[in-house]
Amino acid sequence: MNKEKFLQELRGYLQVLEDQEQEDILEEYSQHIDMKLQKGLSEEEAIRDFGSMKELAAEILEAYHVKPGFRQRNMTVPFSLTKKERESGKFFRSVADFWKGKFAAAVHGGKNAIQWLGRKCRNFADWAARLFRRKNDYGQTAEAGRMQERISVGTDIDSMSQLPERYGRNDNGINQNIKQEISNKEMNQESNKGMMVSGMGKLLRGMGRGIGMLWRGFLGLCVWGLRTAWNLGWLMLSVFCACLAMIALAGFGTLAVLLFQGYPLAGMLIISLGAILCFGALACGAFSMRIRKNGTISQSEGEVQYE
Amino acid sequence: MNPQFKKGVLELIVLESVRKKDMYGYELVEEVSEVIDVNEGTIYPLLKRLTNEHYFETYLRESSEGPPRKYYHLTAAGILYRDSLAAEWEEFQERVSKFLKERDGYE
Repeated sequence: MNKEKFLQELRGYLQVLEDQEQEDILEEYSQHIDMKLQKGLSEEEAIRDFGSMKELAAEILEAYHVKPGFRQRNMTVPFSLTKKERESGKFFRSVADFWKGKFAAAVHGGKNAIQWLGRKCRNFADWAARLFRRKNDYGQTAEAGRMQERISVGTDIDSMSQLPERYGRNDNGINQNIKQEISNKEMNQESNKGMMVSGMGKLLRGMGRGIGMLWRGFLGLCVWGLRTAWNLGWLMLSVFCACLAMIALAGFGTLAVLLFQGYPLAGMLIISLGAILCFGALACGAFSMRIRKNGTISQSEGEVQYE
Repeated sequence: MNPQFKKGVLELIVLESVRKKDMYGYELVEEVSEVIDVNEGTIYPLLKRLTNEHYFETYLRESSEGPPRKYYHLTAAGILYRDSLAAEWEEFQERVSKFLKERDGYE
């Protein structure tokens, strides 16, 4: 280490002191080294006699009651923000917060809207399913009623037509026979009617259930399709952005190498760095836009299963 | 010599050297180096501190060879400080040597 370098390095350690004081001390050391040179020593030897530069600097700073470790903190001062910069940073942060808030609100709103839509769809499906079922139920009862009417009318006609013959044949047994026959017929018809009604009901109920299930399945499929399409779109965008980021990274590396070889590519290097960060952020953002299954959709599925 | 010993007594030696006659930095370093073997770099910070505490005054005087030299002169406060340090040193040194001699006597 020569004199020039020694003084320069020592000055670096003494940055915290006033310029006048720095000059004062450095002048002393400079003279000391000069004296040593006059005595026939080399610069190297003269400087070696001072010992460790760090300890020397610490001792000098101690003479001013300055903490020797202050240097490290002091060195960061040029890179720290001035008041103005900090304020502008605050401004940017507030703007960012504002947009973040807006975006969060928009996302929340969108989520709510989707949830609302899902709820409406489900309600509609329920309503539609119920409509079908109720219609079927009404149909059943109406048909049953009509059938009962027809049957009862039939019996009446039958009994009326049979009545004169029986009446003429046997006075005593008439009433009993008639009653028996009528009751038999009625019983038969009743049981038939019951079976038919219950069969029809079963069929219709099954149909209704089938339609309901179909409808629900269709709705689930729609939701699944929508979600998949949404996720796929974002995923593709994310992958696309990630690819672009990778390309930018490759470009950055190439440019960095070229820059070190002496080409004037500092601007391009910064641009490519910006591109990396930009596309990386976009990729991350797009990836985070996916809707997970445990989101709104699975919730509605859970609620639909109340039957 | 133990560096801890040196550090404590260096201040006294520097003050005593300057008391006899005003000296410039390098001269002082040489003078002190004759008494104790000390890192030359450490004397300048000491001079700086003593100057900051007003025990030294400095002035520049032209020299026949090279740039003007900064001379150190002991102030009145410096003389008082030197006397108190010398008294402390005497007492300290006496006690330590007495203690060491007592130990020798036992053995």
